[in-house]
Amino acid sequence: MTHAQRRTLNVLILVAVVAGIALGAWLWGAIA
Amino acid sequence: MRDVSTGRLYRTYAGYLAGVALGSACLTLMFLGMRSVMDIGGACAEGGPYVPVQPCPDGAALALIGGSFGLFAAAGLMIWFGSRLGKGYVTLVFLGWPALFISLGFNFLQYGLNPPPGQPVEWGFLVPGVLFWIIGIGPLLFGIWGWRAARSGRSTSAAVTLNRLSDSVTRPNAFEAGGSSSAPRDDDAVVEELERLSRLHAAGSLTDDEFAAAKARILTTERLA
Repeated sequence: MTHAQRRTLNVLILVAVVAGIALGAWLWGAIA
Repeated sequence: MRDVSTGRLYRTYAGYLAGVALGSACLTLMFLGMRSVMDIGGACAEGGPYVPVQPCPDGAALALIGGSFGLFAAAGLMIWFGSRLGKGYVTLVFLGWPALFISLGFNFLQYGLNPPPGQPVEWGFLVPGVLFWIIGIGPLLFGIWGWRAARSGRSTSAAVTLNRLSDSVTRPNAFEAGGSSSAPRDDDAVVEELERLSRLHAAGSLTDDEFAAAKARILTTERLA
């Protein structure tokens, strides 16, 4: 991986964490 | 047209990021599911002659049980795909431990310190809350200590421990004795070779064409192995 790819992936990981939290909250809203 | 190596890299990204998203989704589900149970006193059960009936909130069992199984799936994805990206990305999976215990411990502490009006502080929640935070924060601090030491090139016991932990999960096929259809690939060697190429390319020692050709050769060799 190039440095730029690594940096992009690191940003995408943060996006995935936030998206996962939103998904979890949405799922909870759907099943609760 | 995208070449094969780029497609493979994107699939690896997608698998790894899916693991990260699944992990945080499961943590969120467990966090919210736990809060719903704590809202009704911290326990629920029904059925049996001596069990006090306290129905569980809708979805709590699914969130807590499904969430905990989902965490294993998420860790598996992160380890499997992270092994292709580099050891640092596999090591990130260990952050799941402090994330789980600190978030659930937060629930215990919050509910313990904010009992219903007129009731004293709830020690039954505070004690596990403190224990969860010790279980979560201890390894987190140890990991940060080891990570910082490793980055600055010092070989402290924390750095060595973190490195061994990462090594223990970075090669998921290490225990397979010929069980797979082909010989176990040494993904680390491929990643290292590609990283070395990238450095040469970034430093200007390789032209774009030379870099692309060398990269394709490494990835082709790996597929044939």
